[in-house]
Formats: sequence, C-alpha cells, structure tokens
Amino acid sequence: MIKPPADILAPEHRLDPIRYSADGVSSEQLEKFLIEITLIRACPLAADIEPNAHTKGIPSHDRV
Amino acid sequence: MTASELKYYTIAELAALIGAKEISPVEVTEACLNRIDWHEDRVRAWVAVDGDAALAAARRAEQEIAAGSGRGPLHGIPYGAKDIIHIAGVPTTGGSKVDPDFVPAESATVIDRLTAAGAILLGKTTTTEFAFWGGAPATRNPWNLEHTPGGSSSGSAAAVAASMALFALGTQTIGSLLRPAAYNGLTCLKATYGRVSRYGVIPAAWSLDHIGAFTRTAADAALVLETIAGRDARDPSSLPGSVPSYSRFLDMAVKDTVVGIPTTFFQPEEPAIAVAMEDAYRALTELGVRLRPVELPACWDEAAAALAVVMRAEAAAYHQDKFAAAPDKFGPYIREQLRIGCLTSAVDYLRAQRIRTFFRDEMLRLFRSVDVIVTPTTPTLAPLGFNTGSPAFNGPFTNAGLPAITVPIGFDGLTGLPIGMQIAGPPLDEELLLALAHSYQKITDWHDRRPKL
Repeated sequence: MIKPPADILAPEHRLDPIRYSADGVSSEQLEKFLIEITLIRACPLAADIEPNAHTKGIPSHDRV
Repeated sequence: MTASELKYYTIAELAALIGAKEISPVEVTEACLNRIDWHEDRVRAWVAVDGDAALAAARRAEQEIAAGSGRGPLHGIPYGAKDIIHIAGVPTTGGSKVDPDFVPAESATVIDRLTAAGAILLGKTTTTEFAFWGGAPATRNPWNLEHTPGGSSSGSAAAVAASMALFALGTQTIGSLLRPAAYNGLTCLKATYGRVSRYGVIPAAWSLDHIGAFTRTAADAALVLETIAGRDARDPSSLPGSVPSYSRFLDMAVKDTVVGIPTTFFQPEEPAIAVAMEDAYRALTELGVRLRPVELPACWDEAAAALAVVMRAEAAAYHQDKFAAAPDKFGPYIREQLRIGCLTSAVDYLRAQRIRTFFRDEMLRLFRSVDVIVTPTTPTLAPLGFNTGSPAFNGPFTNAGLPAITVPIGFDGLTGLPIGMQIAGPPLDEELLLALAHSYQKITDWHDRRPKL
C-alpha cells in the first residue's frame, strides 16, 4: 500500500487517505465513491436523527 | 396441454383448471420442461433444472388434488428460483466461482412456504455475481435476443418471459426485480422491506434486500405474495402482523386514488418510453384516478449516494472472510466494489444509514398528499449486449423500503422491447398497488403479449 505523505492528511485533504488506500480500484470507481462520500458527509441531518431511529417505524433498516 | 399453449396461461387460469381437474400438474410441468428444452440454448435462463424431481413433485400434486387434498392456487404450479436462494440439497453458487460446491442443508423460508403450498420447483435461475452490480450472466432477453434481460435476477425474468415457468423468484437490492420485469414485459411486485423473509437467501446488502416474484399479471403477483409473505422467526427483520389475502383486494375501488407524478428525475431517456407513459396516464385517468404533480425530497442525490455506500459496505462485511482468503475467486467487478466497501468508515456507513432514515421520512411525508407515485420503471429500454441497465428509477423506493410494482405498458416499435410503468406506495399498502395494477390490466392487453421465440 502507498503511504500518504503527511501534508495529505491535512483537513482539506480528508478524502485522500481513502484515495491512497484504494489499491486495485479503478480511478473511475474511486472518484464515484469519493463523490458519494462527499455527498453524505455534506448532507445536513437533523440532530434528532439517531443511528437507530429507523427502529421506530416501518420499515426498519437497522438490522446490522 | 402442449408447450405452445402453455405460454398463454396465467397462474390464476391454470389454478382454476387444475382445481377443476381439467388439467394435471404433470401436464403443466411437462409443458414447462419442453419449453426449456426448446429455448434454453438461446435464452440461457437456468443454472440447473431438475426435471425428474419436478415431475415427481407434480405427480404427488396430481394425486393429492385427485384425492381432494388441494393446497390452494399454487398447488401444481411450476416455478424457478434465483441462484442465491438456498434449496436443501441443491448447489447454490450465487453466480460466482467463490464457493462452487456449496450445498445448503436447508431451504430458504420462501422455498419452504412455496413447497407447503404445493408449487413445483423446476430449478435455479441465473444471477449476476452475488446479485451485485456487474458480473452479468449470458442470459438473453426473449423479446430480442441481442439485448439483456436486465439483472441481477436475469434468469428468473427471462424464464417467465419465455414461458418456461409460471413464476420465478428474484431479489432486489436496488432495481433487480422491477427493472428486469419491465425489460421482459412482466408484472412484478417488490413488497415492503421485511414483508417477505430473507432467511436462506445470500445477502447482497441486508438492509436493502427484498425478495419478490416475476409473474404475468397483478392477479398472479397477489397469489404468490400471499403465499410467501409473513413473519418468520428465522429472519429478525421480517415484519410482524398477519398477511392479507391480497387476491381479495384486486377488485377494490381505485376511483379517486390520487396518483403523484414526479416533476423531476424520472424523465425517460427514450421517446418510446415517454409516449407509452402518456398513454398509461390516460388509461389511469379512465379508471377515475386523479393525477397530481409532486416534488421529490430535497435530499434525493444524497440518499442515492447513501444507498451505494451502504450496499458496498454491507457486501464487503458479508464476504469479508472469503474475500480476504481468496480475492481472485471473485469476478473483477464485484472484487473492485468489495475493495471500495472495505474503505468505508463506520462513521460514513452510519451517516449513510441516517440519511436513509431521513429520506424515508421525507418519502412518507410525500404520501400525505398522494396515495401512490407513478413513474416509468426504467429510463431506457433493455440495453443491447450484456450491460444489465440502469436501476436508477427503482433505487429510491428500495432505499426507503417502500412497496413498488411494475406492469407492462407498451413496446418499442423498432426493437420489439417491452416498456414498464412503476407504481410505488407507502409501507404495507401492497393491496392498493395490486388493485391499481389489476385495474389497469383489465383495460389493457400489454400483459397478454408473448415473445416470438
């Protein structure tokens, strides 16, 4: 595995550790994944949505 | 019954004939096996067919029915099952070379329930590798052999379209039931998440996986769902509560049902689909439904991203040990996706699940103003070649665990390929979806068309 240089771990490069761990993944698929991760990290969520909130209704998704 | 005649029958019609002893389950099973013999070399829908076992089961059904011990409408009806569904004593490969010699000791709950209802298992149908993106089998679309039947439930959809079976089980993690159903001119209901037990089915991603059946009509979909649905102590995610007799709701009034038409996202890429949808909207209006434009939740793109992140992470978790031991046994596409899944942090996975919860709540809010949402089932016709097509129009409803049904609404004049309409509803409102689909099929005949093989 290629080690990321120290400056790549700065907050503005927080996705790059993923990029440098992605042996065997095409650049196209990796970029797709990074866009998805960026989208979910940027998505505003109400404070009252707990990780297990989905147990309170139907259907439930939390059987992890 | 000849194999040629078989293709025009539905489950409901055959059940009536079998119940009246006007036709034997053995005749029906032989007709299916003959059709497999005739067409399998071109359609390639099956991983394995056990004709002897099917005929033995058919003879038992014939004797039971003759003795007055009929078990219901699926008694003596032949079907297929996707090769990620366990059948005791039958190899289950999941379309992969990872564990080619795996033979389950017990059957999936859905298989047990169909066996108890007297349905006749013909064999296992093809799937993409572990029902994931990519790794498509060689299966062809019976409407146009140059095109894909879609996936991941490729063989199940193609087998029913080719009238090799009266119905076939498949699974959907994004769009693997409704998309191939639309591509093959079939009716298919994906019930609410948890309505059908997944016990004994290889997971693609357990918080997204659904089981369903490919059928010709909504009436047949009701017959299969009421047989396979219900709480299962072996599947903790299965929903409690009694299962309605869905068939009894087929003729319930749909007049004044409020049908939401999304104003964004669900725009088909091909003119033939847009034209077919306009005709379908007119037919729905003839039924007395009210069409109303609806705006989709603002977090649409984030929810789609969350689905993809969750799916890869759960698949990577499920396959972790075998993937670590022998990654090269996995096909190139799923191997890459599992590698990405391994890169997902716990924090990102949980955030993705929270987004799914938020998205589901937004979708439920949408159903306060409309009873159902209607969209094209797919953005395109079945693609040429082996790409199994886009599940983009099905993913949102799978993501939120909402029930959705597809019905055929026309054909492309150039390629002869079918077009589907998707109807989605709030949790556990399968009765309304089936009633709308059945009402639509009473005033149209798209579901009566058959491919020329």
